[in-house]
Amino acid sequence: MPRVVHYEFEFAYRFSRTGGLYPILSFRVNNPRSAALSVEVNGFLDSGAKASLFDGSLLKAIGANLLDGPHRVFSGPAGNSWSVRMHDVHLAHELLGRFALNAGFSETPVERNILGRDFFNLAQIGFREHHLTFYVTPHP
Amino acid sequence: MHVRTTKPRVKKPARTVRIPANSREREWAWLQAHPEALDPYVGQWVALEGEAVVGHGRDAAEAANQARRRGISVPYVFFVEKRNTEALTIGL
Repeated sequence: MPRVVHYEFEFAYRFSRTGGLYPILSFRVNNPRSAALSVEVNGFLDSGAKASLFDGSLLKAIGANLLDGPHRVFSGPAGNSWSVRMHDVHLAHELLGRFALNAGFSETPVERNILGRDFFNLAQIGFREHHLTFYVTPHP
Repeated sequence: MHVRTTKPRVKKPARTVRIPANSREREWAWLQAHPEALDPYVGQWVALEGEAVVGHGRDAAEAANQARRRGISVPYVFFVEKRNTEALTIGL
């Protein structure tokens, strides 16, 4: 029996300097302990990533100390690994609302922020690759 | 015997709202139209406001702090990757 999933919002894929269009969401990152400082960043939606990963310097930009978070290791598709620190942050989007996430922040620089399956667990997300669009309903 | 009948309730599908872009529409449009504009910042983090680079540096905090000193309360920051139309991006 076919299953129908309704989505509230449709987003167009975004241009990337590395070439092509990608499912990228721009959102605000807040420090839950100090809401005074926040930044807006891009995140690549990556359903193959178990967890979200952000560049560690973003934490300093929102007034938090990278090394205060517990240590974890994330591994990538080429067998490479990243030493990360886990931190609670709030992601805010003007249409989708707020999401509380315990995300990884890298100890070494990363060039792209990844929204992984921990984010997918907070929002229903669908893709229509042929149409270069993705869909979001801000609750799972 | 009186039988009360009710019309079956059919849930109306939620309407999907098409969002061509969010609040950073201006920046995205400009980046797509003028990718060369950020070439001088390759390898750095920048803070972009509209069509102006309002901060840049080795990391996100440096770019964001420069933007805040210029009055931007919530800087939009990202790493400027090298332009490459031949490589295919796969996550990290």
